[in-house]
Amino acid sequence: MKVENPRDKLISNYEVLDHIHDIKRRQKRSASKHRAIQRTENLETILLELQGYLKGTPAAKQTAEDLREFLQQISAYELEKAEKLQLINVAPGSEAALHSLIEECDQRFTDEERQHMVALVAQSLHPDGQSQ
Amino acid sequence: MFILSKFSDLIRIEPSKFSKRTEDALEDEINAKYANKVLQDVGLCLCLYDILEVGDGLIRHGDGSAYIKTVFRLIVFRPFVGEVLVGWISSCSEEGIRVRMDFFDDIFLPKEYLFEGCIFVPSEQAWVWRTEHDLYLDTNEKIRFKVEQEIFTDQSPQGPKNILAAENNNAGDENAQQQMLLQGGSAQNVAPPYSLVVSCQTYGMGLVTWWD
Repeated sequence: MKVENPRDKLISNYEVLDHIHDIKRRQKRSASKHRAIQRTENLETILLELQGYLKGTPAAKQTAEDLREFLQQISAYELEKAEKLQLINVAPGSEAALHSLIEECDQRFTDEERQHMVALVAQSLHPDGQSQ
Repeated sequence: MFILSKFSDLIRIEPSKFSKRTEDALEDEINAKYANKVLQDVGLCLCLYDILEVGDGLIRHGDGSAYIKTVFRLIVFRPFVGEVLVGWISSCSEEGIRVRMDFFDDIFLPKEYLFEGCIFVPSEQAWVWRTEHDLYLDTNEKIRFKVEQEIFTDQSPQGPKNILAAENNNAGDENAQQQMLLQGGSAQNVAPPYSLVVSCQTYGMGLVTWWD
């Protein structure tokens, strides 16, 4: 085994969940065709646990369309790639939560800008508090 | 939180699996080998993401299996230092708080990395942040935290002589101590292969319900 590139790409929670759903669909399809497919314990365990975790995150309600829309709108602000990724994964429902995700938030952005960002998140990313 | 890592490996396909499509057979073998395993300095491997290159299947003398050189990407859990994650408190002790995420449990929040003014209440087995109100950090609460440090421990077996030497080396090591705590101070001094030390000190951290 050789590690070609340990950090090839960053990937959002939504994409991981989407990939798991894809695996599950394929497993089901091949099972119906009576083709022997290999279900190893390790894979099943991690998929189940991952799915359990991600279902409790905002990723469960997001769609590809949501993310595209959000990224387009948030591009008005100068944010690092990792910060945008965090916004998508965590979907902060308040300014306090936003603070923890963006470094030196109060120096880089004004009050209104911060409020607007939280509004954008609420509009397209389905933050936790909102739906309950 | 998740990344894609690129690997190349020689994958062995047994003759009994020749009836499958090559891609399916490779996917099964790769998942069997890597899923839910920690690779040193890479992270916790979850599952195959995609296969980029498939070489020719080669056969060795005395073995009917096909060996195929494959380049592929895995989904790996490897949060970067400074990343903010959400998990649940699994237990509190005087040294700090152990946090779990469903698929990954080796997360420790030492007391030095808690908010200023936090105290441990032994009768409740919980940490309390004393501000205007007492804010409880209780078991099974959802908590937001920041990754401060990642610790990889090589678990490949050591020779009999090395074990003693390594233990002595580690004795004064801060990392080793934190790993002991991650273990919950178990007598068996086996550190987890990959663990995270996290903090909860800034605005917006701590229980999710405090802020939202």
